Amino acid sequence: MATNKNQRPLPTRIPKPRSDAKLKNLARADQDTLWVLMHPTDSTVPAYSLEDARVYMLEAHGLSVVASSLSQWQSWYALNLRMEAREDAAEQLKAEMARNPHNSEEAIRQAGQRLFMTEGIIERNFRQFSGAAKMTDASTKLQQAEKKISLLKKAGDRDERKLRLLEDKAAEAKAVLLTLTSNAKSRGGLTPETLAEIERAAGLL
Amino acid sequence: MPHPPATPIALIRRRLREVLAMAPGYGKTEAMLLEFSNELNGGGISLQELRDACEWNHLQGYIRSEDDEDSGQTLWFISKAGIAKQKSLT
Repeated sequence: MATNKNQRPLPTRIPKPRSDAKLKNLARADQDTLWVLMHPTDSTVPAYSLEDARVYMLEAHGLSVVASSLSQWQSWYALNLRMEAREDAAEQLKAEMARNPHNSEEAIRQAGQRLFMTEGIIERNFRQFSGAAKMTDASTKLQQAEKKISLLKKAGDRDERKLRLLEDKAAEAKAVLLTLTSNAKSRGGLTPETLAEIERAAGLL
Repeated sequence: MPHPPATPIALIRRRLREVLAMAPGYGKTEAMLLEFSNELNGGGISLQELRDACEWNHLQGYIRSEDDEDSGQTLWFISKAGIAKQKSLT
């Protein structure tokens, strides 16, 4: 510990927190409020200037901050929001991929990292990305529907072929039966009741 | 045109850690670090200065790197020591 000439320990210097650090250490909700005051989503509400924000910080939190610190905090907070948006998107993708047991943990991690790194997609062209994602989704659904139709059609074709075969067989059986009954009639080898039965069966076919 | 005042090296090192502390689970490329550090700083950080800051933080154990085989790029992450260092400064 540092000492003075009289060997008395000097008081330890407590570092004064930087002005922008005061802002960064505020509760998240308070930072969100400050951000919204300076960047209102409603265009009819006037945005707080740096000076307005300084007054607000003093009144609401008892903090005295210089304009440059507020400006620095704004840059930091804006970047933080963007990073969070990237992170959220990557986490969503990872959660989606994790539903498929075929995706390995490493593949999921890499996909999340890729999305996080993909510059411009989330921040600059979010709508375009969102639209592309929806289109991809719609395209996938369309492909799935087409595949289903194709499978159903194949199944239908199979059933039709089966039906045709049955019809052919039935027609063949009917012809045989008619021939048999005709022969039996001419020879008189069957009783009238049996003949009637055979004729009825042939008629059913 | 006059050059902007040079950013002190200690501030560049801190900016780098600040950027890496955001979404700490995801690696950032050198290009991302340069862009975001300049965004925080209001510009004025060169690639060489950023590389020097990376090297210094790496040597101190405040940041770590991973090679991404697919992209062939190095990804940078903040370490636990780096997070602790950032907290000590705020």
